[in-house]
Amino acid sequence: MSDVLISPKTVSETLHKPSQKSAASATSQSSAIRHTKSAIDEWKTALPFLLPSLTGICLFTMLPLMASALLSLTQWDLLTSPRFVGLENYKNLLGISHVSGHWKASDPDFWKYLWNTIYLMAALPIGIAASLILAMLLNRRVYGHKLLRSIYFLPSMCVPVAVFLLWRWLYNADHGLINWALGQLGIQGPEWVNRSAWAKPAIMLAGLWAGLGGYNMVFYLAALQNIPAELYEAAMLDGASPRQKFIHITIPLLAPTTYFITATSIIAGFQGGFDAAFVITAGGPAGATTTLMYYIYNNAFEWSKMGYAACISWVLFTLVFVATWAHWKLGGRHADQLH
Amino acid sequence: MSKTLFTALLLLTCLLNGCRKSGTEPVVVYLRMGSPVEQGIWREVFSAVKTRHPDIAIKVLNVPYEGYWSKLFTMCAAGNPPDMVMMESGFYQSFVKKNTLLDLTERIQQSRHVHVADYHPSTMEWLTVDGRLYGLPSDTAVILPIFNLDLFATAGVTPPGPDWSWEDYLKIAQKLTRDENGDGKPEIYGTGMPPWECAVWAWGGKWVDDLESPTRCTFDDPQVMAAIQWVADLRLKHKVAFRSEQVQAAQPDFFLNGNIAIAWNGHWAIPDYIAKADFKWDVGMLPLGPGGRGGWNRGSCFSIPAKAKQPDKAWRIIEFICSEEGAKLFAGKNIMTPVHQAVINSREFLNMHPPEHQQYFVAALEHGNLLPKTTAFRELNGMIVMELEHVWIGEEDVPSVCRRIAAKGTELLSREKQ
Repeated sequence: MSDVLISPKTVSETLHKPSQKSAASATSQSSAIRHTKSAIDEWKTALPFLLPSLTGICLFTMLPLMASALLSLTQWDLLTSPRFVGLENYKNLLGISHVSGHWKASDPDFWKYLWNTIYLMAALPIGIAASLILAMLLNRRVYGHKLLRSIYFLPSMCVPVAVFLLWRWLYNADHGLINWALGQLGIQGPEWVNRSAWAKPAIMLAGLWAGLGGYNMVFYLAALQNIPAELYEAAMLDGASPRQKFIHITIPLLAPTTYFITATSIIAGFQGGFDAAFVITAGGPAGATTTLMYYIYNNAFEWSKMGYAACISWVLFTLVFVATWAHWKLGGRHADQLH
Repeated sequence: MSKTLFTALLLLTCLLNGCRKSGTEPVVVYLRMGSPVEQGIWREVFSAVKTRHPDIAIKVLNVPYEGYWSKLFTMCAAGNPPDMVMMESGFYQSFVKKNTLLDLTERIQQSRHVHVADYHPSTMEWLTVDGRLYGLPSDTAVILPIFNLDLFATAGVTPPGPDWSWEDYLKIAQKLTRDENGDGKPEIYGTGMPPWECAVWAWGGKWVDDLESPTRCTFDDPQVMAAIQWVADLRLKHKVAFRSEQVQAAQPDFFLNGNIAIAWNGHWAIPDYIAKADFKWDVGMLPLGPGGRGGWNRGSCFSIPAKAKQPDKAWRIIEFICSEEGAKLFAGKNIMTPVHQAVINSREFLNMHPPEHQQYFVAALEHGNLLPKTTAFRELNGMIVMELEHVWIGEEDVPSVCRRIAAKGTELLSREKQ
């Protein structure tokens, strides 16, 4: 038997006063409700301002995206209504069968053009490195550095078709300036756009020239200017050489910018190559410079196979997604930590 | 302006638009007018149409060739096709087999101005699908060799007559090719690359087993392979053929610059040569091969989309353009080879010079070869052109490439059948 005396007052107070735990719970509940209400109010205010952009995104991005996903399940030639075929387009694109002892792709051209796309992306590291070197050179306070920055940025402002038309003439085996210049050095210039082995490097070179002093250089320039000068001064005082300063200060502090540029370049690389190939080589010779984008264009606008073109687009999207995810996994967090 | 007044004006404008009489809308004519000379001709033609049919208003959609077909396909997909379309033989089959063109057979049979017998029989071969007609022909796209006569004279070569062969072609090209500085790169090439299609037909080869209903691509037939090898040897073995890496329009430019002695082109290039060539030139006849002469049987026609809003008025315009009177307007500028028999056999057309041998354009019609009548033609043609590049640049041998073309082409045709 308990010998604790419980007074009526205590009982009454206990019955009528909320417990500490339920008081805290009630406080946090009302705080949550207030927080939710406040969030809803904020959204109500923000929504009208966001609506124009959201409408544009829905109408011109999300709707076409959904439409293309549905189209990829059809055969559509624009002249008749789309015919639902399920996953047949994907099967015809990616299928591999075993015929007469050999493995045979349903669409060997797709794999060839995928290889072309990846091959042309070999220029990306060169382009990124070159943009960095250019940015470092233009970061120096030399006489006319602002004019030089404008000059190097000019190619990226020019209309790509005009630029590549000029490159087409530069690459002319008999009359082009490149082979003429090589001839002055006693070198027989190749048939740049008439040989599969040279056509791809030709496209890569033209693309590099067009993109060298472009936005990648601008991003690097901005990032370089954000590196505190004190770090370099401290390193100099410690006797660091320019190479050591570059490796231990510049590169790590540029990591987030490099990560961003690499990610966007990979995305652009998968989607690119079309304008240069279309103007300079028409995708040839013998399909050597046809990329996946060019293949999509041919299917959609040359052969009126909209469903198949949409299917290739979605496969390309998947490839870009996987590449970007892998890039994030490999280097994204590391870049963040270094920063 | 007050809101009420503005709204009232807007409503009134809409009402007035809605109350406009039907039939006053212009007939939408979709075509590509081409060069300034062609545009001038079209202006004359439409002016003549207006005089003949003052009740018809015409709205011309002049679209450059680069975007011509994609825009037309888009308009058809949107359910808003033009009333009248300039169609080409390569696309005609696709449009007909997808039921997107109006059947004009009855209209032609009942017409007092145009008759099937008016036109060269070869054009009816590609225009007729399952015994029905879906267009009226306007011109033919024959391609012939064009000679730079000054280069012939310099090399001491007599321009060949109509009965020359492909063997003669090679010998003449070899005599015309000149490497003056001995660097291995001729300054003057005997010929541009001739159309491989003409060679295939001249060797008796065919693209497919059955032109009307193709099921197999026959590029692995010996005649086809022999023809392709012949054309490739012109460049790779005999080094007399110039092949520019500029895919479009470079061959005529190099011809006009005097770098090529024999080019291949159609009647549409004649005004350019007349205006720009600073040398004497003429056309030649299609050379003879083991299987005869290999020419194209293709051209343009005018059709009416099935969903056109004003098919009757469009038909009246087509009737005029494709009649003898309309054909004379086009033929008079020496820019095309018409197919109206009264015009192409007329003194006025045959006596138009240059070229000296205008009659070869007409004679070539007798040796035209049809393209396969399949909706997959453009994809088939694109695949063949791409694969043959391996041969032209000397990276693969002809038998391997031709067998691959045959396999891919047959698969394409069987998918189309499904």
